[in-house]
Amino acid sequence: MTIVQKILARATGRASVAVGDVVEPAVDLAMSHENAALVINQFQEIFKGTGLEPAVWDPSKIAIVFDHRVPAESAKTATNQKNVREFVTAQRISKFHDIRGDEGGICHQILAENGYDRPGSVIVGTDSHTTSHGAFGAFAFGIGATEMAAVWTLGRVLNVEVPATIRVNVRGTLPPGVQAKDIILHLIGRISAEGANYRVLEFHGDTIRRLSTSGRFVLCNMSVEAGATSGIVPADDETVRYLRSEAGVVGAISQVAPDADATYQQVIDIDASTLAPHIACPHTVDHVKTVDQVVGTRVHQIVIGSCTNGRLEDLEVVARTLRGQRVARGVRMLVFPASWKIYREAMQRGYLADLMDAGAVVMNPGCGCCLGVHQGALGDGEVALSTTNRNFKGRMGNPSAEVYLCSPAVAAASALTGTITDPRPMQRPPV
Amino acid sequence: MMSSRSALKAQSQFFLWVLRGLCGELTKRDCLWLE
Repeated sequence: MTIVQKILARATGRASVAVGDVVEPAVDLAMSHENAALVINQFQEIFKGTGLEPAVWDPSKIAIVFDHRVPAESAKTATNQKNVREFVTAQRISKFHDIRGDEGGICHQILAENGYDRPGSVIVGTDSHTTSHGAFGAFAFGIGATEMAAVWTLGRVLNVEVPATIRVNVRGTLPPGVQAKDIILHLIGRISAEGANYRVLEFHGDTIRRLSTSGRFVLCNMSVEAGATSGIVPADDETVRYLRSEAGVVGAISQVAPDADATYQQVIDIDASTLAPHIACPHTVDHVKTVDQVVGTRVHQIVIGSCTNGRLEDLEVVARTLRGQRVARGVRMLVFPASWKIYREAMQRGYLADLMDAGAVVMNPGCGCCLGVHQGALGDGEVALSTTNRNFKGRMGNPSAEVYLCSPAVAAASALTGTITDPRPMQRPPV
Repeated sequence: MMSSRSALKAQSQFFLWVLRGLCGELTKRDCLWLE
């Protein structure tokens, strides 16, 4: 069996599952952000007419994190958030992360850094980038609010069809200036935005084993942009290191590996040593070109951050590039760390000072800019170069604007020139 | 007589089937994919 088949077998109490089986796996963690307000409505509907008092199946297994519109940008959002807080209190939901500088941030990062993610677990979230948690060897996927209401009620996801798996072997050493983002953009460009529809991308190879958890997060985060139900990296020593030393996990950590004779629907090989920086051009994530094909394109706004590339090592790459230099005139550079913990660490290491000295604006952690609902909107005809994960028309709040997606290295190099720039000649060693 | 859990599961499935009828598929719904 593949990793996901093994996880689903365990979660359904079966010896094995086959691709195409429809199962109801037990959920280890159910995550929502502000759309918990919608889940609450559906949850209450389920109980109507049953004579039962609405009660979640296990308040310790539900996580709610405010991140999409923080602090609230409107009375409507503020009221929704207020209603969710009341529900959290009434249902005794313990994994709640409000708008707070000591424990808040983007939901996916919060789950990771608080040790809520565990290898071999089933994680669902009312957010498409829930796939991110596959970085820890979990089967993690996005579901809708009505499905989540059923999870809150029953502790199981209904109607899950066991997905086929595509094995992605990545081998070789990434050249300087080429990052995990370039691997996943390359893959999406190669197989298209529908190339992994309803399937799992399972990542293997020496490149993956050398990647940090942060890099693995990028791969799994954007697996959904190839249509995948989920992305997954087998848990290994790096996973255990992260969970122990960065997320404070003290209990047992199991690791699930695929069987040697696991059946894959497709096998894709990538030679990382030959990769160049990649750019997803407007207006689809699979409109991918190598950086040399778009070098010189004028940009008005650079965005660093999000659940994709807002972690410490991303900020480090950008700070190192910008240190002692200035963002080009006519370019706005917005930086959204993925959590307040990262914000604080970046501040203590001097990264934020480097960024601000260069002219960047450091924002509070959140998703709003990425999806165009809160801060950082683009003007008519403007171009953004962003380390986020989607570039659909209107994604950053303006249908007449354009969004290019790239790695932190490309974004940093381009901030200095005001045009899309190849970062490879500008690489500086860590200080 | 249905148990409480069975009743809740039936209600949950009903809402999902209604949604499936409206959306035509089991996933990609509730604006999930815009976020």
